[in-house]
Amino acid sequence: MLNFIIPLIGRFHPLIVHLPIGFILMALLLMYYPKKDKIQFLPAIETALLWSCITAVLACISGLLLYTSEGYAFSTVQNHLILGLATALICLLLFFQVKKCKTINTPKIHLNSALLGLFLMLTGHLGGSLTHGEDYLIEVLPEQVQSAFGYTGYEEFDPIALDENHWEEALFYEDVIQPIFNQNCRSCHNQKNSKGGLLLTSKETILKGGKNGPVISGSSWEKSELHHRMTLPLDHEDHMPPKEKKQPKKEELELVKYWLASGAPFEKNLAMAGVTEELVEPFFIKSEVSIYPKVELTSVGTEKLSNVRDKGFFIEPLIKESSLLKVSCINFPDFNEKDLELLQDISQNIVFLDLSRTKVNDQVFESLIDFENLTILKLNNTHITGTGFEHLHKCTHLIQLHLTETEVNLLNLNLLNGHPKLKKVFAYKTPASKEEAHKHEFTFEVMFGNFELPVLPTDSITF
Amino acid sequence: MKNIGKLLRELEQARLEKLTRRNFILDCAGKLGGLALAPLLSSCGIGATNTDKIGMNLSERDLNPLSPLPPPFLPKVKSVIYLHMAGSPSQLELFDYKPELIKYNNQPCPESLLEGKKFAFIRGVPNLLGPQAEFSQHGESGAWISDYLPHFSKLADDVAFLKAVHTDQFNHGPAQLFMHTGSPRLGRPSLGSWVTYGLGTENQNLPGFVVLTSGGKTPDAGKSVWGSGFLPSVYQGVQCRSKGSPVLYLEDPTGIPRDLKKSVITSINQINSEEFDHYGDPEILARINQYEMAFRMQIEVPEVMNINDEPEYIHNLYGTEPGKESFANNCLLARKLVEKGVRFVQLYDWGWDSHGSDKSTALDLGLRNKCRETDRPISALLLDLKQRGLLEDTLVVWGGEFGRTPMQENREGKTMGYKGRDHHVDAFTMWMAGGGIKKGTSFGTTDDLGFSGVEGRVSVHDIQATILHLLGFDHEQFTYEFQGRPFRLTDVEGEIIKEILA
Repeated sequence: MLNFIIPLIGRFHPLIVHLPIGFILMALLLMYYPKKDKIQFLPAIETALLWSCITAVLACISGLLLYTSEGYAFSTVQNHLILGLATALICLLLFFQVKKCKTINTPKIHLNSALLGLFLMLTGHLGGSLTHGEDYLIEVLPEQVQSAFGYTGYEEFDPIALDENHWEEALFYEDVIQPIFNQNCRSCHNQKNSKGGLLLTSKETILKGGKNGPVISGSSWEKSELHHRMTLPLDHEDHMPPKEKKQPKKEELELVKYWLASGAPFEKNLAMAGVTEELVEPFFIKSEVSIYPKVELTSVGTEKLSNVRDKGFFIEPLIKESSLLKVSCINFPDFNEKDLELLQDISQNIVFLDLSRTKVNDQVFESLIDFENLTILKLNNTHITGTGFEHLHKCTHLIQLHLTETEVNLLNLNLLNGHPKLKKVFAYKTPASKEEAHKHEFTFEVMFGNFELPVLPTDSITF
Repeated sequence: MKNIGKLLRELEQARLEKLTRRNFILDCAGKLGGLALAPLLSSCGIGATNTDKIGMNLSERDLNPLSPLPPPFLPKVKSVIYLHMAGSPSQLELFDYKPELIKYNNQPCPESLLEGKKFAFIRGVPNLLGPQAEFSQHGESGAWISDYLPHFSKLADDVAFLKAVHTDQFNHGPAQLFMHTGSPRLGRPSLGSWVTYGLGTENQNLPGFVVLTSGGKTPDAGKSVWGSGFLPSVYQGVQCRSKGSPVLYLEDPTGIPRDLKKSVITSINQINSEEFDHYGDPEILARINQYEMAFRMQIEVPEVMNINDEPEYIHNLYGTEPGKESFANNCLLARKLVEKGVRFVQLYDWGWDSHGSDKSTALDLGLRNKCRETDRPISALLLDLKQRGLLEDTLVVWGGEFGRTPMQENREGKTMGYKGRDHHVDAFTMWMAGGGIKKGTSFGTTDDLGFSGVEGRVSVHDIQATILHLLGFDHEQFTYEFQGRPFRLTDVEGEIIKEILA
């Protein structure tokens, strides 16, 4: 009949606690604020302490009632409960000491009042954490301060990312299903916030299910609540995730369905579970293939770039904000190998160098040794003969070498044989292309060109 | 006191006047006008929030709008040669082999195909027309290419065909605009303009976007197909004359030595920079830059645009005849321009509109002549780019603005004197070759009659997105703010055709 009384009193706990806080602070202030003549406040201090004790005991009782009737776990309220009781006890002790001694100037009283103040603060803070959540105060702090507290804020989860070439080895649950849950379900089904009692964070909790029983049915995927709720019409009350939240992709739903249909395996990899490439193809990360070396270099400042530009070079980062550079002498026809010194201090950054139609000679190769990351080198229409090609072996990243319309002969071209990376050499209109080139073996592809189109009878027929 | 009363009356009078209808309308007119003016002005750059354009905080781009910029993503190519066959070649006589169509030759087109379709000239129920050329498979890729293109068929393994391109414009002008500006209506910048706006030009002595025409006519859409639209006009294509001096008044007049010219330009620029110090208008700097650019162009343009001094074997390869207006000459020029760092070379060749209304537009006569005129130069261009290593970072695109019908044209319901086909938007063939393109591929198929694509259909915006992708742009992020909103070349569509990328 009157069993609502107990929870009702319990719910007054957050109100009642403010009374002892106020009285205790009042008593402590009276005890320590005026430095002299404290003795005249003694009756007031006694009264304040008396009321502190009464209200503290009331707060403890209501707190205990709240704890029992709201079903808090002991572990959550433990510290608050113990500290609260301790506060009340110290308060009582202090009251009797003051009443007995008729003074406040004994070491015991000082110790007890210090303890009382400390416990009061701690209990209050822990109580606040229970009602407002643990991040209540941290949330509003700037991010740097948050991380200094070791608090990472909202957890970000990576979406599914499968390697195009090794997707079969990825684990079905860990690399595919859990990321789907992380992206779509985790914000409401995690340790802090488990709506419907369901946690979608680990194998154990998923198998355990929620308040209304398991979400995975062993017998068939159609009966699994997990998939059923996700595929209900969007307007349906039970649809998950809720209408206003981000919805899973069609491909993700297919994968969840396939996972359940294959018996919800937690340890199998994709190949073992029989997943086809078609199912996971949308989640491949396309690895961007680049012929340029992947190196971490310090970027060249814009000032340096415009200095080089003023000398007559064309110079640009390979792509926006890249530290790799593309250099060309397209508007610098008077360039000769001595001008290469202007580039010496950024030689590491240069991956593309076009010296076509300039006045370079064979000495250029010696200066190119420092250009470690050089990938494409163009020397078309220059007077080079290729003497000194052996130095290019030091440019270990060189992949393309353009020598069209130069004086390079076959003998010198052979110097390039065995280069670690060199793939293509363009040697159209060189002495090399006129020699018996095609019998020679190179460790790279050589383009001699000299293409011709035959004269066909149809070339001259006008219809 | 008397005066105070008068003043109060006057105040009351003024207050009441504000409530009159006349005053209200006057107010409205003025304020509405102001409201209307605000977005207009901001689209002209006045009062824009872009702070780095205000005051003296000028970037190198403001001083020289063609200065090179790095692309946002790693590019596969740095130049594009776009070969546009204006009038639209028949895919059914060149690349899209339809043996079924031979069977149904001269039979009425199934009405189910014609339902809801509109054609430029075909009326009623036309007859199907079988392929007029002999087809065979070429290269390791086994691409079907007709005997109209005997030279090009040897390069089948170097190109990627798109067999099921579709557009939505069946008239030349709008379709050409659509193909090159992403919109069938006037006012948008062309592909080449977007590219030069985004990347600038590497060779500071040459324009970044050059247009060459042949076939005796410019495209129907006019010069807007290489126009800059709402982009600054400095990015529009520079059309070089196909005959005579490529750029008029580029040579120094007789009796005016280059030194004198230099000092004239120096003086003009000095006055201009004093003007700039006074007014701070960036347009003045652009002007100074243009004088200098024109002066520099005088060095390189005559050299690069001159094909007289090319060796004999090159003339033989391309079939070029210096001094004549020809597609072959333009192809050779395109190679020379790309070699010298020009970003975008656009070639237009007129005369592919094979309606069959006269001999020159007949599928078995005029079209063959057009094929002969272009087959060798295009093949030569590809081979020459290849042997010079230029094909590594150059993209070559070939295509018309739409395709041609599998039906014979029956202009206004009459039988035509020659064999011809009408404009067709549902399926046509284009090809690409060069850097980043998967060699020897064919993407997309059409139905048995070649009427529409059944697999791998790609739109005009898809092609534009792919070209921009190869140049290092994300077509969805490459925008220009105009009239209060960002504009894209591909509007709100376009997907990269991954199937033809290496």
